[in-house]
Amino acid sequence: MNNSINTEKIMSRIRRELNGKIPDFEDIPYKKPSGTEIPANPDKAIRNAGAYSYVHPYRLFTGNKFKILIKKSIRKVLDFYIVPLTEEQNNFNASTVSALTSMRNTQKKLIERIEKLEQENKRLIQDLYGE
Amino acid sequence: MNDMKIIQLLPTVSYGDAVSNYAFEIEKVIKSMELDTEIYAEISEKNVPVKNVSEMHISENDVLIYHMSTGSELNFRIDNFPCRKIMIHHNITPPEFFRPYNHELFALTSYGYTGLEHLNSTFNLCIADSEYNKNQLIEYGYKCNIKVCPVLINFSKYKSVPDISVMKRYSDNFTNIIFVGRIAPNKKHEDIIKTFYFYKKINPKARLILVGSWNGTEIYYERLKKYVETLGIDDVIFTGHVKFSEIISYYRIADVFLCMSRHEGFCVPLLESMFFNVPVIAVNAGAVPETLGNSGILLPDSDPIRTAGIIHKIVTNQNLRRNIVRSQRIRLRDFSYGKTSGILKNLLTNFLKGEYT
Repeated sequence: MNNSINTEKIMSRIRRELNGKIPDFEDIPYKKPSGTEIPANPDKAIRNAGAYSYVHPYRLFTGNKFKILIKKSIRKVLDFYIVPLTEEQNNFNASTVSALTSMRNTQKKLIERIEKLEQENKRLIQDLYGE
Repeated sequence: MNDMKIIQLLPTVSYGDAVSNYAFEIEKVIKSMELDTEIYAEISEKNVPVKNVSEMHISENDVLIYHMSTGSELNFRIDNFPCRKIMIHHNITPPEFFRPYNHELFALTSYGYTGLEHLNSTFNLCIADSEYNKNQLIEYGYKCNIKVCPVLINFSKYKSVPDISVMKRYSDNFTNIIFVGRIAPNKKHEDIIKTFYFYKKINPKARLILVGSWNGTEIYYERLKKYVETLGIDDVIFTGHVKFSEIISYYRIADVFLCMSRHEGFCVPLLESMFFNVPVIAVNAGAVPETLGNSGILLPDSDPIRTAGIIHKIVTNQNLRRNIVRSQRIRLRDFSYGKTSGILKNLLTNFLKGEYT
């Protein structure tokens, strides 16, 4: 039932009179979330680092048509500098996050192993001294 | 296969959450197969009958069913469990939707995708809610068997008593357009509001009810409210988190269900609308076309003026409305509890026989 329904006269009138004249959601200002806090928990910190590791060379254009045009022109002029720079930064970030994740996983495994060994050690001491 | 248990594991469990509800329905199916089963979660709401993952003991004989829906440290731990593993993939909201509004959710969903990739060779079987979710798994390098099984919904619970005060408040001569789903940027509430703005030009006696919580997306919610103010439209209601009986009432008073979402792994509210005979209009995105099948009205894009025209047609043309509802009733049969639980039972039985290992 994926009907294609022709818009009626009233719709074409609305389209003629109103479309393009009503504010766009992108033009609505909003409070940006406060800067990212650095979590004390190492897992969360690595998770955050991973999430922000990819730096996009471009931001989404917002504002009216004139503002967008200006922003686009600026972007065009700075392309030669920004794009290679972000590529290098992204390579570095990806390697760092990957290394941090792997080190954290190894650390967790070692902690588990130490805990097991300590328990084993405790048990052996108890067996030895009969306590 | 003595003492075998089927253990379901979820990052979070809470009342009313679609993934949690699904896990409880799966539990019933497994129990009906006379198998031992338990549910564990990393984080759970108070009084929800699940155990914490720290209490979980899993042996080689057991089967783990892991629900993938978000970022979690579990994603990096379960490959160490010594048992056979099944993943149920519910999809994760793409992080880019959250970037402007909530750093924490952005980080969490990004972490989810890192986990999804990390787990691509962990499971013996993956169950996807939709072909859309299945394709995502393939894209992420999953080589195991991937089967599609729609979300298991026990529709009998929708026959319970609705909230009378909601029914009274909105049962008037207004046209009620509703959307049910958390207030989240991927659901594109702004497109619903814009469509409603145009619809109000045709029918001033119309109301838009956006049912869902904005917990975690407060900034997006505030921006939506500002948008409503800027457009100068009345009768837009944000309900916030509501009780189940209230959700039933909103469906009952609805004339049209409008979904402009750009990312859905399945979209349970579409089936709920079908159940309550509410005509669905939805944008062709994510798993929406698959869930709708040949029912409802599928929009090629979010053009608000055309959509407003379609709403007007449906509200004023009873024949059209009846046809849409009829097509939805037919589609809903594909998601009956009997059918979906049958698919799941078959998958589990075959899995236990060793078919996918």
